[in-house]
Amino acid sequence: MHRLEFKKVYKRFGEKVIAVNNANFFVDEGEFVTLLGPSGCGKTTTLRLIAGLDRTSEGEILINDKIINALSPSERDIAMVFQSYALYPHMNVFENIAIPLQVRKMSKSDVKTRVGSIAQMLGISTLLDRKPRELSGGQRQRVAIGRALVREPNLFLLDEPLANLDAILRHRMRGELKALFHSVDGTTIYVTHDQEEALAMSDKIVVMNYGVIQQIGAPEEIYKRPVNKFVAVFVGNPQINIIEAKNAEDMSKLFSSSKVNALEKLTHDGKVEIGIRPENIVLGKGNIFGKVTLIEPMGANLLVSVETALNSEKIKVKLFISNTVKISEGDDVNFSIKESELLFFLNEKRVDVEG
Amino acid sequence: MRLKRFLLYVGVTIMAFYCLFPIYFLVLDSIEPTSVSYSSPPILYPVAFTFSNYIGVFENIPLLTYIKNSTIVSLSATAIVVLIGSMAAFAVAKIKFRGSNPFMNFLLILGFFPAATMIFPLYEMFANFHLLNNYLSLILPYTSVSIPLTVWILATYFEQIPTALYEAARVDGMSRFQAFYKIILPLGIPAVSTVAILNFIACWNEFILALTFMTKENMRTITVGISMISGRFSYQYPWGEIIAGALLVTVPLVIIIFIAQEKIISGLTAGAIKG
Amino acid sequence: MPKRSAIPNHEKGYFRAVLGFVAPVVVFFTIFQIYPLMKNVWLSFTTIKGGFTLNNYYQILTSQSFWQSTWITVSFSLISVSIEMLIGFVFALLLNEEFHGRKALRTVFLIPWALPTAIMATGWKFLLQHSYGPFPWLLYWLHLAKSPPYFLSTPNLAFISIIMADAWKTVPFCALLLLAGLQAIPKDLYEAMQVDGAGWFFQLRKLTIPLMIPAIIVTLMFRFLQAFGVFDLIWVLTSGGPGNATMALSPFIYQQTFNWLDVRAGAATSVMMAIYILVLVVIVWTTRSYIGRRYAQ
Ligand SMILES: Nc1ncnc2c1ncn2[C@@H]1O[C@H](COP(=O)(O)OP(=O)(O)O)[C@@H](O)[C@H]1O
Ligand SMILES: [Mg+2]
Repeated sequence: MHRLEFKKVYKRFGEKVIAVNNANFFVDEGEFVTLLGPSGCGKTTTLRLIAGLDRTSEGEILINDKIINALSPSERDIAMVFQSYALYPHMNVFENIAIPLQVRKMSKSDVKTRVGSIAQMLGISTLLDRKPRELSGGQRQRVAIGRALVREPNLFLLDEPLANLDAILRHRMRGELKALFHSVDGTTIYVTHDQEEALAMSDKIVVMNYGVIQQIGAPEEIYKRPVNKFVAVFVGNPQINIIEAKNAEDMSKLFSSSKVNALEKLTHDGKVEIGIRPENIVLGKGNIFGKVTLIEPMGANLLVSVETALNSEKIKVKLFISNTVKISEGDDVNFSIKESELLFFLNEKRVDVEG
Repeated sequence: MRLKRFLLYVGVTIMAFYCLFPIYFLVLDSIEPTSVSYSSPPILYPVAFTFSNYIGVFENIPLLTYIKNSTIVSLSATAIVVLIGSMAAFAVAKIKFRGSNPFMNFLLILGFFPAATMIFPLYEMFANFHLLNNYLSLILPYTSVSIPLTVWILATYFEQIPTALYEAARVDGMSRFQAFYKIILPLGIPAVSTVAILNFIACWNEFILALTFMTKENMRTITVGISMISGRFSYQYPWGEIIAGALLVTVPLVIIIFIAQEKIISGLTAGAIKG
Repeated sequence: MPKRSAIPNHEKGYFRAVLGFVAPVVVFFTIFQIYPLMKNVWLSFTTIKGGFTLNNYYQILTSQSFWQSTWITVSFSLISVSIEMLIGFVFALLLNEEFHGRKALRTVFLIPWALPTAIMATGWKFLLQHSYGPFPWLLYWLHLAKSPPYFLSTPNLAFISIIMADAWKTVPFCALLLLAGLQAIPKDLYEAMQVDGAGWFFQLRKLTIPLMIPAIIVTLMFRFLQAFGVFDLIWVLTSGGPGNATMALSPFIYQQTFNWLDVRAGAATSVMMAIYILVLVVIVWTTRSYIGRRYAQ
């Protein structure tokens, strides 16, 4: 199994675009690490740098403490699942999966057994004679994964492998993939723009934006203790509520005086952005009053938008309640906030606040 | 609407006539006995029929030798240029080496220089190497002049093959050359066959180099052979036989056209419009 | 910006690989195209003894035959390419309609193109013969000429003959190229215009022609460059004659080199021709990028 390390890696395209901007991270043996970020933030480029398909502009990439910048893709002992799957259209499923073994001059019979067992594992044994164009999206994806798995590489790279699937299949494959890559020994780097996928599957998440790594951490840490507003907003569905408090009066409407005092010390002018995840707002039994403006049923829960007035302006927050509660738009309600779960952002960065 | 249809069919008839009427007169002449074809003024419709010109052309003209020579030269040059041209096209389209754009533009410009501007140095070169009246003296320059079109059409086509396939091949452990002949070349077969056909026709039809480098009767190619016949009969051109020969050697080309017209048209448009 | 460290721009073996793929074609065109061109440049500036001279250029640039040859080449290319484009466009418009036998006709259109020029020219030589060729007599019988014209032995008619033969061979070819351009115009544009009540001619004027102009101009220029090198047709049909009436540059070079054995004059003419070509290429290039900018969506 491989350990991977990025040391001060930059990737520029031309003068203007910096697709990867000073990336430093470490992936340990057997870890399942996700690169997460909005489209265009440099995830694919990072993966391509690892694969050797693009050259770094600066910095070093190490596998098992050896610098591999100059190695060609075929020398790196990695497998990659492309976003488009990149199945060879002129070869059938068997040949597609067998290619990495044939290139390595494995004997015919060995190839046959290996491909057979991989196909079995992925449930595509009956498709081996088909050409890629005769497969459904989900089947193609399995073939692409089969091609990656078959030679038991030490490092797997997956570029948004679920992005081209429909919603139901995507959910099912999420679970299957996780199980699969935990069962085969191998370090996995997984790219997605879907934060739910990242949270559900990873040991560790690397959040990127505009080529810059924002945060590296376990899913729970990313979710609960985002380092900045970008990460807080990007991760979590529905999005975190961001409330802009302009002064101490605004704040005192929302939480206790000890917190307000601590905050005032930090901000001087009392301006702060407050992040509240919807699940941390409790309807009823509270001393904040507002009016329901919108109800969005989400199956078991209702997502309720509530408008309330701070000192200087009106704000809107979203919160969850069970769908058994009787509520309708226009109702007057009250709510409270779990103060311990609040996030505070000064100049986009999260700050810890005592009290 | 009616009128438009009518005009359309008038136009279609004119077009068919435009392409075919010279051929009609040629066919007519080739099947007429000498007594009829040399009548002046000419008779523009069939009055007598004979095969004698078609027999005579094989007896009086070494037509089969010409065909053999043209075939050897055209096939060899086509095979070589497709091989080396597809490699270069691959480097341009998939390795995208630095300077591939200037390289392509250079090829394009090179393709514009007529053979006349380089014919004497080539002649001198082949004379020095004793290669005149040798197939190589045509195969080698034919290969060279076919390079621009070949590389352009193939590179354009290869570029449309998703780069992810090439990259997947590299990640799967293939060298560049393996990725070329196992993935890109098989996927490029449609374009490869198109350029093969176009190049074959172009070599088959070439004239000025063949005229200059093949001076011995038994080394001549079709185009030179047929069009130079006249010189040997001082008393009267054997028009019937010449035209019979011309029509005969056109048959293979027409067959190729019938089989591969879609490919030819697509190749021509790629070559002309893209270029 | 952090300082750049010493990272190889390319992985190991990159240059060797590129070289391996590209070297064969480079070797070929260096030996068989670039070397001959350079050799001609060298020849054109030297005397037989090898000394430097401008005499070869003096000789051809002051000769009437060179300038006449230039003029013939330019006028032949201009006239024949214009005719080809014009008729070719009309043919393409017709071929773009639905009718019975359209596919067959497209095949027929390829026949003139695929015919070797030298052989086609041989055929035309027969068709234009004075005494037994059908063409002069057809003109006479249709009262288009007072007597069957001597096509190949009258200077003007010989020039017209090569244009006619060239047009016969190339009009269908241009029509097919332009047809491809026509078929690339999205159908829904026409449908939108029809819904707005536009007639056939209006669609042609406001949609087809404007959209086709880039394709037409580019095709035209490339055809022009091709026509500029004309050799086979003239050599077989008229041998440049009568007199020098159809002696374009390519046959002129050939004549100087292989008939008059004046290799250096031939080389100087070749270089002049190469210069013409380069000038044309520059014109084509700038026009093309202008068109590209102007008509880019
Ligand atoms: N070959 C390239 N040339 C120029 N810019 C590129 C190239 N590849 C990617 N980029 C740019 O780099 C940035 C990151 O791209 P990418 O890594 O594909 O993003 P992601 O995979 O996160 O969506 C984008 O702004 C993209 O436009
Ligand atoms: Mg991407």
